[in-house]
Amino acid sequence: MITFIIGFFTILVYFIGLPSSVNQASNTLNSWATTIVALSIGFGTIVLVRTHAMRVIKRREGEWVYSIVIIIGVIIFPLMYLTIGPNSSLYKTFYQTVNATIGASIYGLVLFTLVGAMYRTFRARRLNGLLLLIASCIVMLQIAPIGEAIWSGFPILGQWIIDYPMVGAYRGIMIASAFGALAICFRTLLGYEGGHVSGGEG
Amino acid sequence: MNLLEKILNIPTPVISLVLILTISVPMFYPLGLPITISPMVKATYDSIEQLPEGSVVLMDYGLTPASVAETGCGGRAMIHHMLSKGLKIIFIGGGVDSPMFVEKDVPPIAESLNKEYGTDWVHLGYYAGAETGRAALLADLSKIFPKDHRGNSLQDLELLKDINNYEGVSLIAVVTTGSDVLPMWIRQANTPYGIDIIGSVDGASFSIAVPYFPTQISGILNALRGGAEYEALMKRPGEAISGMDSISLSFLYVILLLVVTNVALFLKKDGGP
Amino acid sequence: MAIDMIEIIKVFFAFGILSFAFKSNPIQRLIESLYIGVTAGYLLITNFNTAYKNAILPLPQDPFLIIPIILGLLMYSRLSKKYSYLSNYSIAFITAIGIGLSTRTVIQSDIIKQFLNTAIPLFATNNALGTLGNITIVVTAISTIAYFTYSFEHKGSYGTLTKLGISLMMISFGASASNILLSRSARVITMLGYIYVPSGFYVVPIMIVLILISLYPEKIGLRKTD
Repeated sequence: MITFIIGFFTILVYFIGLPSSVNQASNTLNSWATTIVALSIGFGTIVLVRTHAMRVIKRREGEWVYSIVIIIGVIIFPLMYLTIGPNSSLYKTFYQTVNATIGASIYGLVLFTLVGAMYRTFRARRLNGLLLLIASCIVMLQIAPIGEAIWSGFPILGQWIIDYPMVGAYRGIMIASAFGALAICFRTLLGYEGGHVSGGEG
Repeated sequence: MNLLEKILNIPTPVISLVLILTISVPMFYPLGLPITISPMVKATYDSIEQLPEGSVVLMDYGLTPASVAETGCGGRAMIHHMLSKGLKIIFIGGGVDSPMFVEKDVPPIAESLNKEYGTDWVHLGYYAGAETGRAALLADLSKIFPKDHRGNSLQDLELLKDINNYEGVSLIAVVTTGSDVLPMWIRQANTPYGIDIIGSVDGASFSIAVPYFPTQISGILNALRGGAEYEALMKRPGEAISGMDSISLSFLYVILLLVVTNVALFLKKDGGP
Repeated sequence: MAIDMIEIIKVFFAFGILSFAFKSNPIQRLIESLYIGVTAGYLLITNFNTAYKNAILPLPQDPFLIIPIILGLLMYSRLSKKYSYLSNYSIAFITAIGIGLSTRTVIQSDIIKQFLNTAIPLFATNNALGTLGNITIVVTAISTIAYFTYSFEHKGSYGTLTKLGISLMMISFGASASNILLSRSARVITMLGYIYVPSGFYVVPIMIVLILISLYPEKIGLRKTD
């Protein structure tokens, strides 16, 4: 019921010219949603701490040391925030030294997995595999400046692949998924999909 | 194991090690290859260039530790372009990491161009809620940002004296690695209010953003390549242009690896089991 | 030569994570655990601060803000099996707003405008490549939509259209893969940038020794603990 009323209210406000007080009410509901989301984030952290605290208590073989490190890590930023504040240079330096460095490195690891996966899967056993491989190589040579140094046609071909087949395919995917999303959204608003609430019923 | 078998079963650590070498060598011995400008990057540049001095740009500076180089280079080049053109920028951040990177990247650029906080640029900080947050802040900035990131009241900021919602914003610039961020801005800013949008996005998001160009997005920078082209357009070579040398060598390596593997596969099939 | 502790720590972290590309080891796991913890803590305090500034501080001026505060706190009822149903109110509220905001404009942005942009003249004047491109966009879009439409069986001429769609999608996925490779390569450039610094000359060999010790402690007489 809540999903139905608030959802359709939000949609109707956009399409029908209503008094400004009604529009204000809709904007207020939107701003309330941001507050709810901000407060809810703590739930994930609590579950994380609870899970790893259990591993420490049960002294799970080979895991509990890492769990202690996680729990200590969770405490650091809130402690610094409440004692020295977020504008202090120590807070910013700690962020840049720990979060920024490790974050950049962890996400960089994906490249090795990606190249390994490309090596294993971009094998032209059929026509579609060959098309995938050729398109990938041409666009790589369009992106890398060395491609133009090898042959001036690579940037033109690569840009053509991006401007036409890629646009067409992703446009088709976008339209198809938009229809699907609309169907799911209306089913959720009307109560036919209850997966977002526990108990399964809308 | 014969040569073909070895080529078809190269261990991942070996592939990784050669990849690291191909990325590392140009970091010490730059190749200095020229970079041509693509139409999308030119369109991004023109979107900023055609704005009159004093126009207000809302910049969603959604950098993360991972994207400092890939989208950050393009983002910093756009910031430099906007500030040097006399545009005013309102910085917001859809990611929790955003405020840290705004405070790290923007002050040095602003100081080098003698731009003042509060008059030429403001930093409102992080907003929660993804699409909900974007819709809410475009409707009423003060509801989402009662104060700016530095604790100043919005009324005390010269730039925000006449701006409290989407009215008065001429352009939205988005720096992001989230594939759903640009579509969210299109749905909440371009479709209802007709505000132009430009973006510096990562490679995965680029594929999703391209169908929107040029009617719903005025320009897109494709990760490090887009950043390098923008630096070349601005005639201010930086991290992106120097990074493209590593991209050149590593891409050449990947292409050779794929070609050799497929030739080996073809020869193995020809030669029987 | 002054010792830059921050630079040394950055090399330690970056190289520790890079070592995972070759073999998972306890030092890399420790660094990852630290990252998980500090990120969760940073996320928590940043969002709580946002909620504090937006809802708790202005509460005396706007008492209705108690509603989102209560709804936000109700999410924590999921920690209890008996009272977890209370969180349904918060989830229903957020879901409704999210669906309402995205649905009301997706028809225009992702359907109508995309159809209009696809309905282009097939023959571009005096431009063979442009003509080929326009035909390619239209054919690719139609065949891709046909592929994702499951209301009709993919047989006969419809099946041929969907097969064409798959082939054209493969071309676009190849292009997409290259763009993703560009992205990820840029991240490795950042990571290597942390390692290729003056401190790296002595920190990296020390790290290699530490990682080998952590992987093979029995070789130097230590008991293997992991």
